[in-house]
Amino acid sequence: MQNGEHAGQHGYRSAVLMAVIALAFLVIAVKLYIIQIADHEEYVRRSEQNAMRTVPIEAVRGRLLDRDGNIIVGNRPAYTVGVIPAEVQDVEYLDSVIAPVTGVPRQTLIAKVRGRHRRLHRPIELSRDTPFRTIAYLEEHRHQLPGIVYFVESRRRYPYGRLGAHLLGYVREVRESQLNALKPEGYSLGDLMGQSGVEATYEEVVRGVKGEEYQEITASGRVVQSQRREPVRGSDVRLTIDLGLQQVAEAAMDTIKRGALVAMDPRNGEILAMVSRPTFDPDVFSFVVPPEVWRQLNDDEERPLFNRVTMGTYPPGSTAKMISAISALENGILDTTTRLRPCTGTLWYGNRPYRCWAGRGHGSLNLIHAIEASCNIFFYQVGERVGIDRWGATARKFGLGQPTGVDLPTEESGIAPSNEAYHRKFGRYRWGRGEALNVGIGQGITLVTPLQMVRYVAALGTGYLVTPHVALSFLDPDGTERLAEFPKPVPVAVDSSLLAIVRGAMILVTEGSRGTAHRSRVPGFKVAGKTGTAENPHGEDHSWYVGYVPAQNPVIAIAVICENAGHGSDIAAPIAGAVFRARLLRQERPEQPEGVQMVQSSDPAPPHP
Amino acid sequence: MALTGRHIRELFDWPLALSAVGLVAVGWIGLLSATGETAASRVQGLATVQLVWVALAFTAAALAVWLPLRFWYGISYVAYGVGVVLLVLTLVHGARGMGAQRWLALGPVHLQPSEFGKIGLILALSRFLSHQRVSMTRLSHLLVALLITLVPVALIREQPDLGTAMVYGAIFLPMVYWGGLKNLHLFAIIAPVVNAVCAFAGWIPWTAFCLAFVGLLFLLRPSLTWTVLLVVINLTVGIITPAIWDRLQPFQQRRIETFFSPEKDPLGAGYQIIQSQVAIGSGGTWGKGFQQGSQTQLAFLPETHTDFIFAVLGEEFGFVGALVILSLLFVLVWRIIRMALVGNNAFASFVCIGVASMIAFHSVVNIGMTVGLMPVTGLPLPLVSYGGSALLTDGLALGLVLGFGLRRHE
Repeated sequence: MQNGEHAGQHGYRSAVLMAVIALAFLVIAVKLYIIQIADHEEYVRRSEQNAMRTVPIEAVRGRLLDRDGNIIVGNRPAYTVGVIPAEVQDVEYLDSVIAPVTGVPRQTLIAKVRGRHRRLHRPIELSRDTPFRTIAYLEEHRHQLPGIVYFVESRRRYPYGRLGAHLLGYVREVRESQLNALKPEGYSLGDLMGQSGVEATYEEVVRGVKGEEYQEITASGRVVQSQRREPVRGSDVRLTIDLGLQQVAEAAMDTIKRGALVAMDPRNGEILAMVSRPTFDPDVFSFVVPPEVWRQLNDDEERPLFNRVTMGTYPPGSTAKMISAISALENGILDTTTRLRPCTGTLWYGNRPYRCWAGRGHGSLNLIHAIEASCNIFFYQVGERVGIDRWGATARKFGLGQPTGVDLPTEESGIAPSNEAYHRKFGRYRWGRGEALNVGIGQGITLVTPLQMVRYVAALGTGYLVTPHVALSFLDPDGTERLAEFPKPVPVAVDSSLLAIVRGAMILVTEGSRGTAHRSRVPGFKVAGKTGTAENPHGEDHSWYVGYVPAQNPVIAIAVICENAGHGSDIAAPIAGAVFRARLLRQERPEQPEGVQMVQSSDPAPPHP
Repeated sequence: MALTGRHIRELFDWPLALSAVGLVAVGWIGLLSATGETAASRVQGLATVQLVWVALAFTAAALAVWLPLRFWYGISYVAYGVGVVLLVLTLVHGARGMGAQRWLALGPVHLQPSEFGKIGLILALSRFLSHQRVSMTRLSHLLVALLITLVPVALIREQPDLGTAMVYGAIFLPMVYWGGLKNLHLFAIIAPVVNAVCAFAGWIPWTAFCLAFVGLLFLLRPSLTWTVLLVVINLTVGIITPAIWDRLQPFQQRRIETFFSPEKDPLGAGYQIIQSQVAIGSGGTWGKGFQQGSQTQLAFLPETHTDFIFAVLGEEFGFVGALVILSLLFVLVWRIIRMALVGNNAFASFVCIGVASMIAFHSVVNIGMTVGLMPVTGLPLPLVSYGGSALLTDGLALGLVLGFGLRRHE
């Protein structure tokens, strides 16, 4: 057991061992010097970054009010139940309690708490939009359920259900696929964002400013300290919509399957009611939309999400006959006394018969009676004489073939006809000269949206072309009201005497013995209007009505289209009549909540220029 | 021969004992910080528990000092045998934790037999190597020593705990070197290991290894047989290393991958290394102060009370504090190796080399890990990290060394 045999060698070998160890320690010391002194700043920066987290706080979305301040789209609290894994004590027990209460399948909670999140201090979502009853239960049993938390989110509330769904639009959560494009604007996953209608147009106004909470957190997400910057709630948008009128319009439109209605104040372009059929329930978008619901809404042939008022394009049919009349008058082709060839029910042009809707014919008519009776034969001849280009030019004066400038996200321009447009569509001179006849009665390639038509009929009534709009003002959270601004009405470049002639004819349409729109009458007021029956290649004719009231100083103009519903006089005119009467006779007003009335609604006002 | 007061005054190695006490004290301060108010509830209060372990370790050390050399020589093979049996029991009945099976439950206390097994190995190897007729110049004797080491290594590999298995190797090599292993043979043992590491690391380190290999062959001038043997072995290792890679446990693969490029996976396997470096680096020269380290207090650091205690101390006490710990460890290891030289008992001398190797290896691998020089292995920092088994083992080992010092003239 004696040591000594290797004594000399051991001195050397211990030195080797010490040298190896010393070298290793030296390498460590050098590395320590590098990270603690040379690169110190860099690591300080990273350690600070580590400890701070910014959590966005949702801003409450601004509400949408009608012109009198009634809430049409409000907000409601939605409760999300979550679980903080680090605080869970008995996961099996918790799962057995939570599953039946919240309706979350058994084992869900266990799966979420186990896995890689076991030490997390941040809540993991279990159930969204949980009924208040459940929350009340959880609150009552809070002490027996450690780890279970709930928080409130703000969601859209639609007190009137589907009312004005297309106009108001819907909100959806920002999805992963949209995130890259929206990040620069401050959106993050799950934020609500207006996707159509007013919600989309005034997204910037209603979304508000997100707040932030700066949290000093631990690695598992437990908050040690925090500072808040409060969110700013979005501004309310006061719409031009008249809730009572909208309700009447909705009810009237419930009688048809597909179609659109828009009512507007012709003096300033304020849209009073807007309905598109079929419709949808905006509430289904509040939370994550199940793919099958989304597919169903999109694949539906009736296209319920499609706002027919701004995006539906139709041939105007007889409602465009006032354009033919004005075009003929301003081009000196005829005057009010001119009688064209009498109507016998059929007009031969080239080798083709052009028919009037009245099979027995209207006989000999002047311009005014031709409008009143909506005689096709008369307007075929007008079309032929005016020609496509001049007809189109007049149509453009009334805003056809161009966007109206409405404050809604998408609108179609339609087509105001011209020879050039025909060439483009059919090829150079690959279309017959008879097309001019069709244009004269509002057929041919002319396409209009209901919104263009209400603007057009309003311009006939007032002589001014307005910018239709749905926003009246914005109510900021601090109480100030900012008026929404739109281009001022511009005079139509048509001699006012010509407009007066047409107006007289339009009154006869409603009031005259041969008129086609008797069913749009309002007792005590003179209604000016025009029905239309637009032929379309896909099925039954579309039924049109455009008009305004009172005829002398209009306060409401309207355009109604009922797809594939037959004659305008039978279907569209009665719907318009119901809305007219509601506006002027003040029937069927909704109950006004106390103190919400913000602005006197405009009653029939003094004559407009 | 009984120990007298004079013996204790003159022969007791105060620098060794004081550096050990210093390390325990520093470790306890780090533990206080790592288990403070902001820490996870499961570690709060561990500082108090550690005091109990310190007391037990101190008792173990005192016992080791008090028991005569002959006792330790006598029980060396028994201790080794008990260690092996415990390792087998761990495999059969062990408690699972952290993806491994390392603990043996004894009532409320979880023991880690692989820690105590190290003492058994050191004692057994010392006894074998100190035998007069045993010479490390003889291959058969070297193989016996290797076998003594490989039995517990194989059992630990099954757990699996690569880090602790590596410690056994790190104990074996200096001890056989101390036992007279020829430079050529040492080279023959080390070369394949370095070879494998370099082959993992990529083409450039492997090429560097090949150049160094050829250079050393030239210096050592082995016989033709040895040369051929070394070349064949190393070529084989270089080729089959990728094959072994495929057979490693996924978490071992991840640890090795992460070691080479922690930034690749900053939230997964690389997380610990990155956070530990951030903690130490942000500590700067003087540190952020006791319980002021944001990395530690906000729990960005993993396993702060055990494997990453050095990062806590590096963050809160800075470069200066880190150097103090390094110095204490260095003094400790130096005094133990010195003890191997001053005694005239071969067995004691081997034990000292074994203990020194164990402590040095643990220190370098643990601190190297926290600063990003070594892969994450889960080896505790001797005397500093929280953990009863390791502290008891270290106390026992240091007690042995101090006791041998007192009896150096026997």
